[in-house]
Amino acid sequence: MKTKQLSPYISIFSLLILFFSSEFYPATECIADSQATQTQYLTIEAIAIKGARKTKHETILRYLTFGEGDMIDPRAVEVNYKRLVDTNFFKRVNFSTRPGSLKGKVILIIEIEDRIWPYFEIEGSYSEIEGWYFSPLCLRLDNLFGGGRRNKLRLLFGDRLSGIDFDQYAPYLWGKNVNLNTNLYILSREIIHYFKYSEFQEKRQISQKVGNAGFKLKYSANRGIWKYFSTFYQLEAIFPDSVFEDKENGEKLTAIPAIVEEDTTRTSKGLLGFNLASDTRDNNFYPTCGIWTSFSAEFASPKLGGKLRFERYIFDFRVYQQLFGRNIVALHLRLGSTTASAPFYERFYLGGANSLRGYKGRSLTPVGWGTRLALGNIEYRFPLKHKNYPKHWLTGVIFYDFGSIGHRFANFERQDLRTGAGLGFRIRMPVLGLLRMDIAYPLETRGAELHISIGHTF
Amino acid sequence: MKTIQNIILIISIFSIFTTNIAAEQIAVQEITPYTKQGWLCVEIRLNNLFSEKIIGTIQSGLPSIIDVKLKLVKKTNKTILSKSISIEITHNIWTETYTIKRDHHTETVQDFQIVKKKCSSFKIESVIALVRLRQKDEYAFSVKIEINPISSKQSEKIQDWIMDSTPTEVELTSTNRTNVISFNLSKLIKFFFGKKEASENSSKWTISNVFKLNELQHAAHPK
Repeated sequence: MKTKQLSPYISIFSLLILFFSSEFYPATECIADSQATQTQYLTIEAIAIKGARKTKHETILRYLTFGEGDMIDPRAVEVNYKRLVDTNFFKRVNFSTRPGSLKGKVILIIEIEDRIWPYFEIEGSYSEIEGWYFSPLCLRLDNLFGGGRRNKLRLLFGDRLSGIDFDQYAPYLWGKNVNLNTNLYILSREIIHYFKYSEFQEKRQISQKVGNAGFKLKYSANRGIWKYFSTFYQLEAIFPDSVFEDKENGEKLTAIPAIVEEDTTRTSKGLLGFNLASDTRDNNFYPTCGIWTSFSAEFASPKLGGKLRFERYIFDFRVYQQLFGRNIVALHLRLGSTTASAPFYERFYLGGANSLRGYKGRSLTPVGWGTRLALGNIEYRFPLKHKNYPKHWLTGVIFYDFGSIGHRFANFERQDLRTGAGLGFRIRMPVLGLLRMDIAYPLETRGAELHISIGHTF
Repeated sequence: MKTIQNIILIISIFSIFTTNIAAEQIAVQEITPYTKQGWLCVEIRLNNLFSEKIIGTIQSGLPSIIDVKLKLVKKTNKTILSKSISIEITHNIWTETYTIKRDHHTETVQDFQIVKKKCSSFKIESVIALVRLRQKDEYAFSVKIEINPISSKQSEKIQDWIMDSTPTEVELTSTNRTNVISFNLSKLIKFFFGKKEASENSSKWTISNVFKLNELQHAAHPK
């Protein structure tokens, strides 16, 4: 079955998953809130905002989960206090109340002090393609005119990535329930290929630099069924280097596989993408129930401003379920498909800390990279320390990964499937958030891999 | 000359207002250590604990929480013991009673003036066993009071925003998704090196007079 014939079925399947995920796992019902204390029923008669010289009142109200007529209790105030503080728009936030016009009604008073000056952040991450990278001074110019727009300018330095990146997120554009995200970037990446050459019997790590410069506009909604849907347009100039170097001995290669060499010319990409996504997880630092799912379809065409022509579909599905006690089982499934006309830097890889953990990063990637990807991860998560659960500091994980990469789903055979298993720890740390350490064993070959990264695998 | 007089007048008026604002800040009036049944105890008296904002919150039916931070320090400024207690005050709008909760002890009163009296002067018993202290060493108590409307999580604690850093999953220019961590550097620098501004909801750290255990015990049981 060709890609075009398959895509409507994938779309319908994704919509069904989105619908059922929202129905079966409404986000607010996952964990019984044992900490809420409500001894008397109080409702908000009005909300008074004081001290806001820059930030518009509607911007502040946007971040609240309650409004006039809603019930109020200390727990709800804590949640909303944190939501406002986490925006980093304010130097000070304080909630208080006074009696309303009737018994049981309160006037909620929110006192704020606007942050006037920009501030700096440190950012960092790890991925199999880009490696470790960080931004030592990321400049944030948030909420400049009180409308809640976020602006971020960062210089990136990393293992295999460097560049400059500007991002603006404008929520509730023009007062409507739509958001616009604008991203401009100039990046240089070092892509690692795996193939044999010369007298070497084993695959070698061959590096190639690829430069990217462009912009991306993403449009999404806040309400109704449209909140699951987003669309984006990307225009990018691509500068792949024609020099290939062996990472281990520094030797510059003269003979390159044709499938890789054909993508070494300068080119450009005009791409239109559509995404359906839903998230009903109860929280993102230790999800105990819920479903996260995403389906994206991307189309690059000369009619959209670039030279490349290809299609790409990615389906990503995760489900979390609490078993006995505080033990969680989590399942992740990722399917990807792209046309043969896509260059290698727009294709898929397999192997590594966020992929098949029994193998080195990207080591299962075929020459020219894969146009078909199937990846699955199953994890059994259990807290080893229970203090401050679900924000406890130590979690144990036992996992099983499976995956396959190639050029055609139709040609998939059992021996193409790779599997791995292992165990790991998730350590909650200051600043870093969650440090991940996994020891994984491939089940088809010998050896073991130790992976250190940030955040959960999925 | 008239302009200078006007300027002086404006500055004076401004000073009066700022003085008044400072006077409304919570103040630790008195810290009195004493001993009881082999334990070191302390009695604390406060001024201006209840601002209009706190009274309004309590009267509306939502709680206010008093956080008392207590340190026992040696004369060399070495902290021997740190302790904190919370006192929660809630008003039941239907029965028109006030509840004061502290540790596992709950007290209900009818009059808010009694609440003010009980919360502005209280004792902390069993701070530390006397056998753990030296009779002739000099000690002092250091106390800070903070009162927060509705929830004590409204006071800024550095461990909250350092430990609450959660990686955010983002898309990359490649087909990857990855976890990105970000940390507010300006906030951290300001917390350690910035000018500490006084808050209307908290007092400054106040140190008691230096005392010796043998003097306290002599005062409790004079011959």
